Amino acid sequence: MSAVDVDPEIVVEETAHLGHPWKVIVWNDPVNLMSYVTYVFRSYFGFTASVAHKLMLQVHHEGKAVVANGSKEEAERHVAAMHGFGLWATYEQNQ
Amino acid sequence: MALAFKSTLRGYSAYLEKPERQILRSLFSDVLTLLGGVSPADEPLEEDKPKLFDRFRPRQEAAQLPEAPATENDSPTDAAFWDLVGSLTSDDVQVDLNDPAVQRLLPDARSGHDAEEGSAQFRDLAQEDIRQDKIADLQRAYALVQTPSLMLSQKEAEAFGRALNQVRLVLSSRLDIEHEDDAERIHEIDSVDQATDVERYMALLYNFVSWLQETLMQALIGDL
Repeated sequence: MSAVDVDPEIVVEETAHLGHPWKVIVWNDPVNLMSYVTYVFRSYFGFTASVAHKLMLQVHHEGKAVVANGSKEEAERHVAAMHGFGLWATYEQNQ
Repeated sequence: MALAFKSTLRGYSAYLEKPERQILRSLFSDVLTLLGGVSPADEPLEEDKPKLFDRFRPRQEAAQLPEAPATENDSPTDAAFWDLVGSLTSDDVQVDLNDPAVQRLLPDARSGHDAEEGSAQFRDLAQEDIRQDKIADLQRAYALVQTPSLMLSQKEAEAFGRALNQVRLVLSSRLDIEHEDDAERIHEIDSVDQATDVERYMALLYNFVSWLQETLMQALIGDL
């Protein structure tokens, strides 16, 4: 069994242009475990192991990662879910 | 001696001795208090020996919870510890967003343009639901450590993981863990002999809860 290798940046950029004016950002913090963040990305967003791992590392090394794009309602729903998990997430308008 | 979570055919199994479950319950209760929630009715903790299949687990799957710093009876250290860990108000159920630990649990939701106004709107819209979900997770976790041998369904395991995460967020705030090197500093306090003061003891608790959560997440990830 293998996971499909999708570049998260491509996924995110594709959707950003299709009338999805809001983005969801997960920010780095020194508390949340890498395993926990990865599990949340996989179980909540349904990312493959590879995409979840890349996004988690992006958060860890670059300080943040965009994990979703969508309508304002979708962004609110995702951020509420992330806060439910204890992840530091925000949403803002795509420029 | 606590035994790590592992995935079994019947669920996610771990073993926690009575003092370990008592301290977990205290920590869950403290976070509940911060969130304006109430701890479930306090059923006495049950005791038993590890199940046969748990008795032969390798040493690296076990962790020892430190004793509280040795002090006189009814020690001021102990009181100071609980003051640090949680706000001890009993009947006031207001959530204090000026408390950095509460801010970690219920952070601002908006960044970029109009962040302040947007965050306030989000709080009006969603904070109450998020707070209630967090309280539910903590109450569930509190109830789940009733017995020494834990056997959790996936849903229970996920709720337990979220509750442990809340505890770690609150402890990290009390321990001023803001950057990676703070986390390193705390992580280095790993010997029971180092539990000489309140902060070091709290650091050992943080590391114990981190260890427990890590083993649970590894077990859950292994089953995805």
